[in-house]
Amino acid sequence: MKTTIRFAGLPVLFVLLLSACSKKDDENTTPKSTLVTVTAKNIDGDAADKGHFTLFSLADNKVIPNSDSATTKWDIGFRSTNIIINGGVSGPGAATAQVVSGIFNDLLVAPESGYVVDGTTLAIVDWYTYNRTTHIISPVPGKYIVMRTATGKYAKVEVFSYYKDAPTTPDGNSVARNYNFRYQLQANGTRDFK
Amino acid sequence: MNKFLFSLFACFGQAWACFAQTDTNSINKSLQEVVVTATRNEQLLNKVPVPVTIINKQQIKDMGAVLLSQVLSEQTGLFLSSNHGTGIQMQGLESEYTLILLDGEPLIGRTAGTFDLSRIAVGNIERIEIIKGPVSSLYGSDALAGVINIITKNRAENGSTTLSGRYGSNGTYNGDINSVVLTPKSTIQSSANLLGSNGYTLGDDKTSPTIAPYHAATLQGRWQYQINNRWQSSVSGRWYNQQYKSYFTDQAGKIDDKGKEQDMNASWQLRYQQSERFTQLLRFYYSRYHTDENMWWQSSKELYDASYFTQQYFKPEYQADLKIAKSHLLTAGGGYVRETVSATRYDDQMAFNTGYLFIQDAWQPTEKWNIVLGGRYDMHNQYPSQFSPKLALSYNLSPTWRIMGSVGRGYRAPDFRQLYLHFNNAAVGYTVAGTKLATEIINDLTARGQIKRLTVDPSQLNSLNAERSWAFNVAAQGKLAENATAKVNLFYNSVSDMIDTRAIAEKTNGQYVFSYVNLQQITTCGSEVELNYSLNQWMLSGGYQYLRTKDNAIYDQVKAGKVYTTDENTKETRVLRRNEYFGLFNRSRHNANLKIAWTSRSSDWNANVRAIYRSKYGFTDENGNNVPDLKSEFVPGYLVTNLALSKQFFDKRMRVQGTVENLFNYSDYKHIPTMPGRLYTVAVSWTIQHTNQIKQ
Repeated sequence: MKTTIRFAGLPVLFVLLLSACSKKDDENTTPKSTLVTVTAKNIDGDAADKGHFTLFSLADNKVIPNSDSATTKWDIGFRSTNIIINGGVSGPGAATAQVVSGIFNDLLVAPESGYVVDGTTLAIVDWYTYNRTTHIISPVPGKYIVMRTATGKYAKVEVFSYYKDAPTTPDGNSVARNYNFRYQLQANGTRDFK
Repeated sequence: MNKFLFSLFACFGQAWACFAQTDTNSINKSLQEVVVTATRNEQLLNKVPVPVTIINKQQIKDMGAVLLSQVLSEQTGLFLSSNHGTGIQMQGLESEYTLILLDGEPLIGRTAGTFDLSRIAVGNIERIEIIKGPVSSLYGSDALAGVINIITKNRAENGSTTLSGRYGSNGTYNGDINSVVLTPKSTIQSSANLLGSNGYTLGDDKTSPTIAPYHAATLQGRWQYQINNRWQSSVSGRWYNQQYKSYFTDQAGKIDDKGKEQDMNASWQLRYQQSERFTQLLRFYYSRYHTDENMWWQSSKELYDASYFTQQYFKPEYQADLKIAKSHLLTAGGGYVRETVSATRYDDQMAFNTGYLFIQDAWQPTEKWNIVLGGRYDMHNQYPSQFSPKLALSYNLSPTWRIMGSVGRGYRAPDFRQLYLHFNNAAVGYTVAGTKLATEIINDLTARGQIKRLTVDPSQLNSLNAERSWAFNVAAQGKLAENATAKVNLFYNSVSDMIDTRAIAEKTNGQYVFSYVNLQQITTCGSEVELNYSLNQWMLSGGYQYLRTKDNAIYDQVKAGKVYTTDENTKETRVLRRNEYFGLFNRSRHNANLKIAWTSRSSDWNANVRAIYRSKYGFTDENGNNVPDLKSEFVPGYLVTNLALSKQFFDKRMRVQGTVENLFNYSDYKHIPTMPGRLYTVAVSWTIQHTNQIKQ
């Protein structure tokens, strides 16, 4: 059984826990699953356009101050439509990521390969679309991120809205650069999302 | 595909459920009507093995229409679509796939593929012939979805001059003078038209007018001269000039935008009728289309942008019609087209040369069968040569019922923009490169350090092919009763190598370089039913089209469960189900019209009401899954009802008409800016019959 912790408001943090999920059919030495499922709301994607990324720790489910940018305390960062990960040119960590197609819930085992680090091209691209008529940024349904965190844990992240409070149909009055996403983090180091 | 055929037949059933109407006289008359577009020579409508829709002058007058777009929007299966002008969608194919002819010669001056039908005023139109399904076998490029031939050539027995004026909502005005003068050897037609509007702004958008004020003038003339009983010459010309004044708002302030659009064409035809059996026709056609646009900052009066576009088209063509034995009419010919474009967005003047040959046999093996087999071969200097065959047959089941079928190829050539455009959007920072220039432009940008990464190997871009289709049409036409007719048509179009834009490189500024590739394959199919019924002074008609469309590659992905959507209720991502795939954007599944007209011959009154319905259609892809799926991605279905009432006075010399368009004031300006709500117009016309003339 796993417990979902909902996150309400930035500084507040619920913890999640979960007991081991049932059993893997496999063997013996599988570490105890420590799967965490979180929905993060209205994470600032530099709405004030100050030029800074908002750094976020998946394990702690909280925003990490920019003063800690040179540490491995954060995993993922947001600014406008750019998403960085703590690795490569973006940070000192070991984070790698890829954008995959499919249903978030259906991914039970993270892909073995395909992860890249942030370079001149960021690891996380093509996760959204921009509509030239409405000027609305929308996450593409079925596109989500699978990544290894700064400390090498597997996680999957799905952004479901780029607008404050995640309106069903954002319009010109919606406040952009507000990341709403859900994620699952497997803290035991395996690729399992079961 | 079987599913598609199934739905096609299913809809055929649905279409029958609808009904409609006409008057016996006009039906009988229409069977004797002569059409020219289907075969390139005069044929009786009831012998031509393809369905031809005819809109005659009286219908246009009764509607109170001013622009061609208005007339076409009320026809079954045609949809207006706005993309750099008002175009027409036919058999589910967008406006760039329909060829627009004026007296048999192509009209040029398309912007982003659309020929703006609001450039054509209808005052001097005698008849419009519409053929759905490809006619590239006779006309070459662009005749892929069909052909609309605007015929201004007058066949009147007597000369006349008509003056008319119309005024309506939004300061819309239209003045017309049309004259036909007959002498023993000549027919001289001339017309002038002035048209304009104050435009309008919908909603509370203060940044730019929805439709800017414009003023347009058209002059047209024709001189047809019977040199002797074998030789005939015809000279005609048309000149159009439009000016508009608009403004828009940039981040830094307001900008005035003034532009002008000019369009002219001239043709000369020489016909030699050697005998009853053998006719030769030589024709020369020249057309020029020119636009000029200038923009200034409103505050500083400094230039913001200036651009121009000039296209020229020249075509000599020869055609021979030869009757062989009793049952064959052989038509063959050839021609050469030279087209040039020079524009701000092109580096140099660009030229296209096409040579072509066509041949067609119209064969009537028995009274009941009509068979037309033809083909055209186009040789081009910029893309692969095209061969477009077509076979059409009809069979008379009974004196009043006829079935028809055709199979043919259509094609559309890549246009100048797709081959030679070089456009840098200074404001946003993207670049668009025609395929012939793509490599060069990429190399240049790379040398200047502006390219971050290539997404396509530019060497793949060099050869752009024409877009090509196979089309099948099956039709039945006949009388349901003495004064009721029915027409049914099933169609299937499979278009491949459709040209699409694609990002070929990412620039260091985060924007892209776009170019064109042959990519998409689409399928459109559907059915169409038209019914007419007339009783005494009443005429009732109804039409319905059912349409299914698909992008083949996307549909395959949908079938494979690889297209995702956000569930409306759970807000969770899930697989888009096959039955949820709506098809291509901007395509409505249902289109219906119902028209009722009442004409009193004794009192010279005419009243008519026309209701046109279009069901919902995909407007934009908000969530990047390339299919219309979210509710907000659709334009809701709507109904427009138009009314016209007219009365003639003084032995039909004077005519007064009032119209109400969009009676119920439907408006959806965010999606349909060209529909401003309810409009009123009043019009007066006066006709003078010329006497003392006998047409030879």
